[in-house]
Amino acid sequence: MRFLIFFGQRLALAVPTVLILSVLVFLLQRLLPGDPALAMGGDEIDLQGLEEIRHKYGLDLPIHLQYFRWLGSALVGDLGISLRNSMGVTELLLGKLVITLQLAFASMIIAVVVGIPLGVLAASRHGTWLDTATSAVSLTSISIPHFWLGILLVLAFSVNLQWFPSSGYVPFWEDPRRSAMGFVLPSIVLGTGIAGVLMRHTRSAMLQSLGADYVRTARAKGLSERRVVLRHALRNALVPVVTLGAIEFGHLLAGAVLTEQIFSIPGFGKLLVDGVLYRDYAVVQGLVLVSAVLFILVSLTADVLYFVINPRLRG
Amino acid sequence: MDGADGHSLPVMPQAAAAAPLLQVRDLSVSFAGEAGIMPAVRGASFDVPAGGCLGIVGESGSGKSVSSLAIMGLLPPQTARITSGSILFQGRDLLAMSASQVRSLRGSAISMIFQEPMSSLNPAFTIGDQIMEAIQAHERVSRREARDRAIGLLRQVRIPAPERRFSDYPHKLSGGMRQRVMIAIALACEPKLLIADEPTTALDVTVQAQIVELLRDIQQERGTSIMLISHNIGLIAGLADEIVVMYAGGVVERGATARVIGHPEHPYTVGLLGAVPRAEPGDHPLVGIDGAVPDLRHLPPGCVFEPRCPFSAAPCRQDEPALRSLLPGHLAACHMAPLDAVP
Repeated sequence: MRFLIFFGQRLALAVPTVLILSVLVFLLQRLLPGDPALAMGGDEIDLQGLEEIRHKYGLDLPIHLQYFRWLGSALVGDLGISLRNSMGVTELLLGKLVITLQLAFASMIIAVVVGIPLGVLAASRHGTWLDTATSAVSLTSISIPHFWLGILLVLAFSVNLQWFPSSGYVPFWEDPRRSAMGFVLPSIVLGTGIAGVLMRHTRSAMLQSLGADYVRTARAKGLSERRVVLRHALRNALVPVVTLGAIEFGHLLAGAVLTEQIFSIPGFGKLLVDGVLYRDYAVVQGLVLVSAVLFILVSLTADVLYFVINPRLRG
Repeated sequence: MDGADGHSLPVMPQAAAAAPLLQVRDLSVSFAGEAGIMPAVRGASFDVPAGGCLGIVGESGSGKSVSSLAIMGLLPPQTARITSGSILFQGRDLLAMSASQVRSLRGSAISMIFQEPMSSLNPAFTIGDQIMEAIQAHERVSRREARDRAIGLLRQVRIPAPERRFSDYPHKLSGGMRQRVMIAIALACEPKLLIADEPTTALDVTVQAQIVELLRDIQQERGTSIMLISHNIGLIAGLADEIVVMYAGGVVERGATARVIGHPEHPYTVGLLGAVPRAEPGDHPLVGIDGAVPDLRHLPPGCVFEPRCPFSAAPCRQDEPALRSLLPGHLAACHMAPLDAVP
């Protein structure tokens, strides 16, 4: 019951957030210079041709009517038609979402598997060379630019060692092995920075909980150091780390523009770049809106997780 | 629960006569910090009688908590060093044991409760879980048996509706209840020695009395030896058979409770007794001790209490007094003792 109230409150907060966001997305795109009708019609088109295109896509309506038309259809799952290739935006996004989700999950797995254990290790060896080394690794991995790391990895593992393909996307159902191989390098690129962030936060949260009175109690019980660290300290340290991890995952769902570009992965990032370049209003609006809704869904999930791992919320 | 009147206390000569359960000899502990080396305990010696209760009294910084952490093997390894001494538990030196040997005693033969009941339980686990863990850390028992024992322990520390409380998280319990849970955890494996470090300091006065009563019952019913640490000499007087008074890391007076309370032979003990509020009729002005505990990094050359001592004389500023026997079993570290003779 408490959970339902808690979840209901979070959900109720999400609705106005999405609405405000939809207005911003719509307006921002309209404020950009450039005319979609011109972009579609090309150089040769005359004034009448332009008017026809504008009328066809509702671009001649007052701006608030354009917004309500767009929002009304968006609510029933119709995000309009791409100005560039006349495909439905919803179908276009769904196709790319599968790719972006795969990349986001793979990156997150790498980040969690590397970042959290290293953070725990650094905190439990606080003040030793291991702690210093781990902190250096963490800082480096946060600071490395994605495009540079991507190029280095391609050079090392694709060009020289030829372990992984340098670019390209193969759908999972066509060839699962090649598909997975294609995601390795981009996931490492995206996962590295997040691993660094998780490492730092896990370390500081662990240092705090290792100094807590309940950890002294756990040691006084005669528990092994391993159990003290992994059960008593880590469980409490994970509370802030879960929230942070969810935010990072949410960012991944918006698409990784540079990384997708480097590895030619046709996900949200590439779609966004193309959409902006061609003034494809419908695609950009739909993409930003879907990313935002996904982000909100992820934070809702994080709230639920938070509720599960933090019994104080349960009352 | 004001035990300043020590004459009504039950005296347990048979407990004091038996071989002590714990013998601390010449224990010295230092902390290395950025400001230099700080001697927190300086050559302390005391015994915990088997089945009896030893009270250690002193201000914050007197070394009483550090001594208890040394016994538990819970001193922070990065900063603390035990520079001398031995801690004999049932005749075996804890300081000579390996870390895993000490760990197997910790929580089973020797257990400890702390000053901060509000933060000493893990907020992420139910109290039942935390008690069962203490049992299962040392004994091979089924989950079901551990659960039954944990509920039994909750009942013994007088937590109402123990079956229901078993699955509660700590945040649902009051401070007094949490301290009872801590005691249940400490008792989980029937310890020989229970170290209680300021167990009532963070609690309301009425709750304090209940916890003290609980500790007394545990000692009498189970024969558990208790090492009770407090800054409150009245609390200690109510439970302890023997008292050790610590000041600036050293033992300044030691003896049977009734004797030390009735005839304190160290000026610091006299000061501590004067600082206890009394509920008896009559005019008892509350007297504090002037000055503050000295900086342990820069101790005075003679007696460490000399700067605050009303009995101070010339030798006190030169030589540090050693503990000496004034009566059989009653020792004080003071050049001027016995104080009755001081004009």
